[in-house]
Amino acid sequence: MEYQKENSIIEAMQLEFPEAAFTVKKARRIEVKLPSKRLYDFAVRMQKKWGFLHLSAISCVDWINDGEFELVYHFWNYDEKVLVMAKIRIPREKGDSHFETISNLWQPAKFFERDIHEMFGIYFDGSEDMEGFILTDWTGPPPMRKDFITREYALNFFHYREYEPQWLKDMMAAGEGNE
Amino acid sequence: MSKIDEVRDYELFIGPNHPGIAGNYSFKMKLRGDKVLSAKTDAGYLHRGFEKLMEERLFIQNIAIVCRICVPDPDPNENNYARAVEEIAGIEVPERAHWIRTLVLELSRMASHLFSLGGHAATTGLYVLANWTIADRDRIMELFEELTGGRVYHIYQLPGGVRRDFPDGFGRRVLEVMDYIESRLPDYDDLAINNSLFIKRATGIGVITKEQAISWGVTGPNLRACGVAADVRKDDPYEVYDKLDFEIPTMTEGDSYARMIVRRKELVQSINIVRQIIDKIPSGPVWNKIPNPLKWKVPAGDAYVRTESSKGEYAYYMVSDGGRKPYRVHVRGASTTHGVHVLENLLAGSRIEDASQIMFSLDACPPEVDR
Amino acid sequence: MSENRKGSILKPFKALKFIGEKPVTIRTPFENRPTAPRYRGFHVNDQEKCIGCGTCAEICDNDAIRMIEVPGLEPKVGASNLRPAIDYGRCCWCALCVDVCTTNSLNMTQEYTHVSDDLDTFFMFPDSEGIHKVEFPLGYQASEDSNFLDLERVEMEELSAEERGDSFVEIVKGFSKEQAMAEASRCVACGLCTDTCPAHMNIPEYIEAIWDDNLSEAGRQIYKTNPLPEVCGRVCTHKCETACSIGQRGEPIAIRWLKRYAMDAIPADQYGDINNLKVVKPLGKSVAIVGSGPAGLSAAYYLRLMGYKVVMFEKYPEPGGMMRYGIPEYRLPYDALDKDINYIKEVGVEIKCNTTVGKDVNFDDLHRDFDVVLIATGFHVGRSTRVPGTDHKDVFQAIDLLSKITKGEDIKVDEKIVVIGGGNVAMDIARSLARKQRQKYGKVNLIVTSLESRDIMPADDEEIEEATEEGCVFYPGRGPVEIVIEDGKIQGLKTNKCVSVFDEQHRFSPKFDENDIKLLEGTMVVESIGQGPDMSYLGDYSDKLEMDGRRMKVNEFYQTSMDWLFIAGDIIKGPDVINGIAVGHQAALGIDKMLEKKHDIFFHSIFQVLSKSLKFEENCRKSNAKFEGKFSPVINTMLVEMIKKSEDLEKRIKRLIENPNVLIHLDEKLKRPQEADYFERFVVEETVDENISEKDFLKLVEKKVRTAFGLYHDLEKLTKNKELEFLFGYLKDQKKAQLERIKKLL
Repeated sequence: MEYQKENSIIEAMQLEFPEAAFTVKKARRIEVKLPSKRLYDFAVRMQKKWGFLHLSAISCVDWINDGEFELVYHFWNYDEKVLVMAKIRIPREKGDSHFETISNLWQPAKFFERDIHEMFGIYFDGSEDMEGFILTDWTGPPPMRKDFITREYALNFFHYREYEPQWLKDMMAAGEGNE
Repeated sequence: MSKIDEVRDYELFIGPNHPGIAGNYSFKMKLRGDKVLSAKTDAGYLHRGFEKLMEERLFIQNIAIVCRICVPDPDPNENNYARAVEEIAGIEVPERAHWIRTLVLELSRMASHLFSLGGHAATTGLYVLANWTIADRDRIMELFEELTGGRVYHIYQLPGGVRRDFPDGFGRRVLEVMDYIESRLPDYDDLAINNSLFIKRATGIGVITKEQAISWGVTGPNLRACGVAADVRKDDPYEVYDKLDFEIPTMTEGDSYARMIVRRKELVQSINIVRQIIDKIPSGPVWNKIPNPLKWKVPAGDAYVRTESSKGEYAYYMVSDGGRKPYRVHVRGASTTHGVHVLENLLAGSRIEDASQIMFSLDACPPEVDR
Repeated sequence: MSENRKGSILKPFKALKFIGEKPVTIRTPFENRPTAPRYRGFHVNDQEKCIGCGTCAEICDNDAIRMIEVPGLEPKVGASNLRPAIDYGRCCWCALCVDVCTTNSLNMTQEYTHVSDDLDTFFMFPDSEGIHKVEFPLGYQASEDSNFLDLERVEMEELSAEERGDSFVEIVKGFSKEQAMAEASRCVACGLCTDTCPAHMNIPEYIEAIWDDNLSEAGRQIYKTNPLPEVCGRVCTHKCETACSIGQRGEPIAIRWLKRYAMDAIPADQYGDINNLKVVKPLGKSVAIVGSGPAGLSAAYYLRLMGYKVVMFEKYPEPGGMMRYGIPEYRLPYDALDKDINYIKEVGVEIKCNTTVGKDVNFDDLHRDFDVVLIATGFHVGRSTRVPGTDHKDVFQAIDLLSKITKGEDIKVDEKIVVIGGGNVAMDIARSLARKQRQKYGKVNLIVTSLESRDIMPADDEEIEEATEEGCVFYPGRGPVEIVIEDGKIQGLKTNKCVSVFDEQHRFSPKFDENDIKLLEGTMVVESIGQGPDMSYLGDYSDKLEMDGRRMKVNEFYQTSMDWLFIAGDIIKGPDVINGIAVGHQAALGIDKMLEKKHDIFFHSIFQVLSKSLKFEENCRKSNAKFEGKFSPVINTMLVEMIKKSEDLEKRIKRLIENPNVLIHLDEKLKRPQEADYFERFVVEETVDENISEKDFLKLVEKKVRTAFGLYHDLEKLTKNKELEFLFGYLKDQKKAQLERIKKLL
């Protein structure tokens, strides 16, 4: 049977999380959609019970038209060699959105959560460090949000330089002569 | 704590340019005498907003940007990007292109390891090795120049394959360079690895235990130096790694020296892989045409792709909403763990003279953190 | 390698063996490092080969390429006067521009050094001599197998010669959705087609909409400059395809078929919704249009939208002019034509058929009853070769026969027919008669002869090929001498060889070889060597009008020396449908300008358009605010959000207009000037009934949002500047999102 390994993993997880929707995306990739309040439980079981010891990354997607943020937790199992992508959605607030941290379970989560806070404005409650990291002296809105327009920001904050190389002047001067 | 100790407590700001890291990256350290009490990383000097930029560019345009996320080892970026697009859009890649990509990835790994070996030795004052490895790395740059037209940034792997086939006689020249680098390895050993000065300086420095490594999210050579034989190339194979015969070198000590040895052994493995590729590479087309790139839309979907870069696990999470531009690309560099909390953990309790060696032994790459 | 960590202090001294070795470093600047043959160095651009399509600038991911208008370089069909200049402060040498270049003119060399402390010198204009006029070998070059462009056309299905030979069923089957989208995906949106099209249709825009599967947007773009798209989608002379930049190395985009696909796919009853244009401000003035051909219809449509009362006078039983009575049905089926004309009627244009001006209506009366008269009566009188025998009863004019076929009247069809003429009308009559012959006799015996030899025959190549397939026999390059008549019956056409048609000054002056005589047998001869106008209805006025050579003198808006009289169509500028449409549209603008005493007909800069859009946004917000709280909660929430969004957009636009960085761009010329009151016309009447039903209100809001969407979409396309393009893209996306939401509610 195709995806036997993946399916047996899903079976075990489905028993404890009947409300979650599991799919096998391809070999070694399982996607699961969870209600956001179940994420922490899921993460705990992932680490303690199912052997997903490696938190590969936490990704955030701004679904501005749905008014939601999607958080995608990528867990890797060194023994089974399977990656589980756990997806949850939380409401997108004008100020900071809030969600619970998993940095007490996984050290790598510290960086990812801090980064998401800085770039998307999602505050992870319970995390020890939510300070700015990458953006220096930043006062604007979280820049990875979809309603932040880089070019508009750049036009407003940086000087625009026009070029006047000699060849261009010559070319234009020659053009005037022709007319 | 004695009174003198209290007086000797001070804070030190290191960076953004310092011998510990190739790139701009700084640390705020608290010290007592020459002992580091704690260190806090300060990133952002190389932040160019790649993830945001990618959302504003056509799928094809991004191939010119992604390589810039990691300067010494740019090809895993290109590979991840191309594979993510291919996975979402369901594009088939010609067999030959898979082999060429693998070749490029291994050459890039070697170039990066050479860079890192030299830099690592230089942090202990052995600058000659750095000069040698960087000069030898240039041989690989020349191969890249010949194959892709660019030395540092190759902009070579496109969704659907690669941009150009081998030039005439390229395989032969690759083998020549491999022979040359292989012949140089004993020289490197003489300069640093078998040098008792270096052994003394590197032993017991920046020790990570196996348990720590896994819970801290350490990957790549750093993880293998702690005795875990994990490698994306084997565990989650991509391109043609499952058709190649190679080993995963490991060490158990988990210190700076073990990491040096793992990289040194990986060079041998890479040379071996490259030779196999040149030997076995099938002929055929190298690129499956994609639609007109100005109009090209990638169907809605998402993909998480991983490669084993020279630094560790390198992953891209890409989301497409069915438009002409990626809706979201999340770059997970290997250094997001190594360069931040792993470093902070290791630096605390170390001595200031070892700080830069610890940093370089982890081979952290600041632009991966900053993006 | 020492894994047991037993080192030696002496090992490093082995390095001493390299003492005396030659260093691997290079002593710049005394030594120059040669590069690999594929090196991506500075660009070279063959200025002769380059057509200024701007695709390189489009694909450049750093906006490093800017298209510069080169003074003295004349734009021509399929080539603009723009050439790429490259900012090497931004260029990242990715060579995407090389791989996408439509002409292969842009390549890279192996040159890689430029040192200067003057930043301006890093902005360069590559030509074929290299940036420093020093010759370097070529580096990274375009290659056939890594080309980004799609050079092959999606094949159009057609009826085979056997299937179509005896019927007037349309030959071309048209694209399916998949085919159309595949074809649309090939376009690089360079806009050379737009420059070449007489009506300057927004071709890249509607192709883009087809690719996005947004047919109503495609329809909207098409209708902006062409109210007869079903017709043009079939019989247009498609000059655009000659200009297409993809045609430089491959087959040009099938622009004509794409237009046809879009219009065929939109049901007639949705035309009004697409264009949003039903509601107009009546201005209380009226225009009479004589002749309902393409020029007349086009003028009528746009005038009506501007708010004028328009009455058309047509002498034939049905409107359409040459499109109905000249072009055969197998090329342009009547229901396609009717679809276009019915929509023009629907917006309120009155067409009086069977009314001949000068007979049923007096031209003086028109002048008296209407503010302006536009004449667009076309060429409906066939010219004769006037060779001996042309007065025989079995010698016909093509144009007369064609109109009789349309009217369904019986025409004479002999077993052997000779057609004189090498233009498209000759093909039309030859192919029509061939069909009739096949219906009547089961076989075709028809000769087409023309002065022009095959290579310079004015008819479209595909017409000639298809006619040959259908059984017509060609004798090109022969001049008619006389029609041989015996016993009152035509025996054939005596011809001699035509050596040359034009003299050295390219004037019409045919030369013949009197010794090469050939009799082309046939019992019926059809002349199709051109048509002329009949403007006798003008009466005394024709003497009063100022002339410019053989034509009437007109200004740029086709206004004659009598300011109330405008002129359009073949009688002033031919020869095809699309030119008629273009002239009609231009005349409509001229009439509007005259009647409303307007000064600015066009917006030329982004600033002007933006100010307009700011006002538009304000209006939308205010009118939405009036209805806040009057409807069900769902719609109310939407309204509240829309008002908020409008405020945000207003703020953004205002910031744009006031930003000194942006001001530099705002004064820039638009790619194409926009009709000044174009947007005004889109604004639906502001006085909305207080007791409007929820559904009607939603529909109204939808129209406005769609208008705004169109506006920003256009701005995005019209600005040459990428920074602004992006902002407009954002504004557009916002509107698009709103639109989707409203559609869900509807």
